[in-house]
Amino acid sequence: MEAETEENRVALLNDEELVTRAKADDQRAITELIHRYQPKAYAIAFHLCSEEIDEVRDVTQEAFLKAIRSIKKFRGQASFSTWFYRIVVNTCRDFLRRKRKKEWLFSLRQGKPHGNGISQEKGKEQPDPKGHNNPMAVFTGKQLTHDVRNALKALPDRQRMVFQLKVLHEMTIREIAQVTGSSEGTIKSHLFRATHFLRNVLKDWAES
Amino acid sequence: MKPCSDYQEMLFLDVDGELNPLERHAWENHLSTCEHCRREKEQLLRLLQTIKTALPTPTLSPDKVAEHVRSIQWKLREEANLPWWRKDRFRLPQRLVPALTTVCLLLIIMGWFGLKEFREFGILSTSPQTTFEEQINRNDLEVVKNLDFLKEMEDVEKLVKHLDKTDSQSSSTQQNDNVNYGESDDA
Repeated sequence: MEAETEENRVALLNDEELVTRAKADDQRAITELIHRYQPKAYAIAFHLCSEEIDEVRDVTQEAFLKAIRSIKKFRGQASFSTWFYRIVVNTCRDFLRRKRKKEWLFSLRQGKPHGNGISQEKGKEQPDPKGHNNPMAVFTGKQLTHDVRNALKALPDRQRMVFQLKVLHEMTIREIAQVTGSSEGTIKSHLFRATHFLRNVLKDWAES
Repeated sequence: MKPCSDYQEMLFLDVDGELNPLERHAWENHLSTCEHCRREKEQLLRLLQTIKTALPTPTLSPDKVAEHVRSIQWKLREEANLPWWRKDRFRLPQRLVPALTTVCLLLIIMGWFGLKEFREFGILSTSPQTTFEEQINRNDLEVVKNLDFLKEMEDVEKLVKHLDKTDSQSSSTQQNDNVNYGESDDA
């Protein structure tokens, strides 16, 4: 009963207070931080590096472990969320690098060209975005998903990452700059180029 | 139709919701008069919406979230119980491994050639003969190296002296003989 009240009290604390407690190895505060940021971290990892559930779980777990291990180094210059998302984005980058290296080595052994680190068969597991049962709508939805993924895959890594953080995760340009460690001007430039490219590639979808 | 090039940046910032109030005022004034930009803005907004629809943000069921959180906590507890040298913070970052390997190899190669040079100059040696050589200076070493030659020189000198002696002895006996012969003739 007492433990439950304490848990409820911890759930009401803001990020700063939770971080202060987590620095003092308060397990309840650490658990609350994980609960609070798990959905967003999972969604970022899902879009940025992989859409395989196991891989996304591993990347998210690695990001949380890194954050909790180094929470004592967090000085509060930026908000905890920005600091944590930066860790998630860097973990995703490392994951993609490792994955590409593996795929490259595998392609050398098989003698086949390798992809860009993102699963080629993602369209199969994706739910129908429109949620219709109409076969035509299902087909259209799948085709749209397929086209959008291919268009995003054709973008350079940085542009894709910036675009996804902006459009899918609704971060501001300033937040993206802090998370990726680039200037706001660079982020704007990446965003414009990515939007420009996608507008041309997905012209038919945007007009229909 | 292309949007007005002067307002392209504002168009993109508007659809991304990043326009500041000043820019927004100027942009809205332009939009009220420019049909192309209005159409372009509509198309871009539709494109972004299409992309959001095509790539929905995944949601996990509460059970899955709880399971995930438990696995992170378990991993943290496991790490806390590890001895300090096995903890991740004390492990070498993986990206440093190739660089450190290269540095070690370079050190070994440089060390090998350096050692060879030391041996050539006789600075570093381990055999007992050379330790004797190390104790005397380079001039002495040269003398020792040329000892045989010096001995030969001494021998030659002795021989020359001996020859000189025998020469002088033979010349004196010859003189004596001459004197004797003169005496006998006189007689």
